[in-house]
Amino acid sequence: MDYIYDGTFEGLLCCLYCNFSKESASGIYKKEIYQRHMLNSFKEIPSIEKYAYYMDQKLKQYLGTLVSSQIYQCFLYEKEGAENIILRFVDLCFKKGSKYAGFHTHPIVSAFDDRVRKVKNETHKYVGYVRFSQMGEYLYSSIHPEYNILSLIGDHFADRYNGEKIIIHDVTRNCALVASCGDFLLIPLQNGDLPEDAKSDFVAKLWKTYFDHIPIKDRINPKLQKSFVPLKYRKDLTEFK
Amino acid sequence: MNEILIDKLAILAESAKYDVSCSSSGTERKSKGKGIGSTRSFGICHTWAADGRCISLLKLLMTNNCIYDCSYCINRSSNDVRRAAMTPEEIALITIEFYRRNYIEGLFLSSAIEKNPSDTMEKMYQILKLLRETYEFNGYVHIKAIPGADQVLIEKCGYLADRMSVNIELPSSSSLKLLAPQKSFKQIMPPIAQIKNGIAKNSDDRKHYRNAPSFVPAGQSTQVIIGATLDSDKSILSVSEKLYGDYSLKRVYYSAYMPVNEGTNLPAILTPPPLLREHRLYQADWLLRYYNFSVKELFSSDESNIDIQMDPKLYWALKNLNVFPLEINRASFEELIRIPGIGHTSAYRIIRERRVAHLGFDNLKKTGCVIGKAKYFVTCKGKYFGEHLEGDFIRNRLVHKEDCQQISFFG
Repeated sequence: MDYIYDGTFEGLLCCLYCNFSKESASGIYKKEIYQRHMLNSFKEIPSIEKYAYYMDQKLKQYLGTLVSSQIYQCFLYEKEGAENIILRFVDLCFKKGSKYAGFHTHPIVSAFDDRVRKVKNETHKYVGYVRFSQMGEYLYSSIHPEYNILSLIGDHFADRYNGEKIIIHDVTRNCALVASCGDFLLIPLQNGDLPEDAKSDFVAKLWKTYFDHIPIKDRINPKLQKSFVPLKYRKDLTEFK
Repeated sequence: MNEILIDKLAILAESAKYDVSCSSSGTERKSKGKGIGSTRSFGICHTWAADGRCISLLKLLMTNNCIYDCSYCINRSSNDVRRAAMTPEEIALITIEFYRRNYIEGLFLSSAIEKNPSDTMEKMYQILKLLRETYEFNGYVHIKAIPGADQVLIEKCGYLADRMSVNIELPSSSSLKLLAPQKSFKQIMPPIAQIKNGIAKNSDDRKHYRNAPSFVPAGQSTQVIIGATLDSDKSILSVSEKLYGDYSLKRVYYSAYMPVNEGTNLPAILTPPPLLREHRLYQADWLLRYYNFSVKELFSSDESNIDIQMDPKLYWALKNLNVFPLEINRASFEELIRIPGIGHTSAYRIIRERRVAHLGFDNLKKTGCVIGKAKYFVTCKGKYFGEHLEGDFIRNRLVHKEDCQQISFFG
């Protein structure tokens, strides 16, 4: 039996809940990309807050807060059936015991770890890579992350820019993080909501000057630089424009 | 006005670039309601410059106009370079504006000595005060403590900064006499000791009074130039070991000397900087801080320099082959991290996995350790996979490989 859900994390938790309480799932898929198959039957699982909350509590109880937050991070990977990786991982840990979460070389666990690591690495990178520019009373930044990491960087930026109003725009997913006074919200954006302007900013010019004068000439090493700042991140970085 | 500011920033960044320290780690602090900024314990790099070094802090000299004439320094008084100075307001404003755009994690402020040490320290204190009180900046600030400055000033700065550092520059008093005759250890060590005592006293205070202001919460660091004098690796690392032990320093940075000046006591201007040696020193430094090695273990009695062909841990392992091979399923954490190719991350993984299953060679491959190195020093389920446990054999296999890797690393 395949389960399909609405694409939210709550929906996924409900699928996991049904997997354990009703009928075990052979796979979990997002509703909009699910391809019907002759041999597999499928069932649509509605998002119900009560079940999602219950499942979340159980995950925390059996696997600990660290692993349950890793499950959320793996969900944000979004590609290559991340849901199925979570399903198999949770299934394994519930059946064999929570210590299996540390069995890193087990194929199911290593697939899970691998996705978590990628999402975490990108989250850490974007904490440094977001570049704001002044846009009216807002500080605006556009980013193109590979994974859906906006919700993971929210706390950091909301806390740091407590007195400012900031918008971080995930252009690939057309979604924005809006923060002020220490709180943040994620909202979907319509095309054309924000002007794509690039006013020449004196501070940006200062920053570029600094960036050009800080390397030591005898140690110039573009290859090393590229390994730290891969080209795909550079289109959003002021100093590389 | 604006063009002048850009020019000044260029000159002062250019003069500050030989300082290597750029870490923003060590303190976790949430924002304080008003104002801007927070610090994260893991540190955040915001970008990497063309030489592959990270940019985390805005590294600036207040002025590069110096009364000292240290032969290794680009800003020495006898050099004909462009001089500039920024006012405290300019530096504070640039820091805040960069920070608001998330370009940097904070400020690293250093300075040349324009009149006398106390005067420079006083100006640095003004910048700190401006940032912390007027702009309510709560991000990371690293400042230099100037040897010879008034103790009261250093203490006042310590309560506003996150990290302070005093550069030792050269590891022995004889080299200091040779290259920087106006400086001496008698002058350099007191501020280091003062900051160390201040931190110790403060951590005691904070146990009793929850709201006691913190003093240099991210600790202090220092920097040593290598390759400008004939000091051996052993003497450099012994100094580091002493600083980590007796003065509880957080970091010692090593800076390969770039021949920027000509002088009778200096290497010729075309001498390539000893980058590989610098790399090996950092590796050895990590062994001292995180892997429980001591300098005595790393050097056999008759040698005083690191073999730059291989990393110091491998060198140690080849000298102490009698310890190996270790059984991966039984070795303790302390033993595991002494195996070449296994670091903290893979050692933790191995230990977590052992609770679930017995590890074989295939499992070990997937733990993320450098299997090509580790296989010569371990057994998995009692089986040895490294052909011969013999010093020369392993050296031939690994050193040749490492040569290739090194070329790509610095190429």
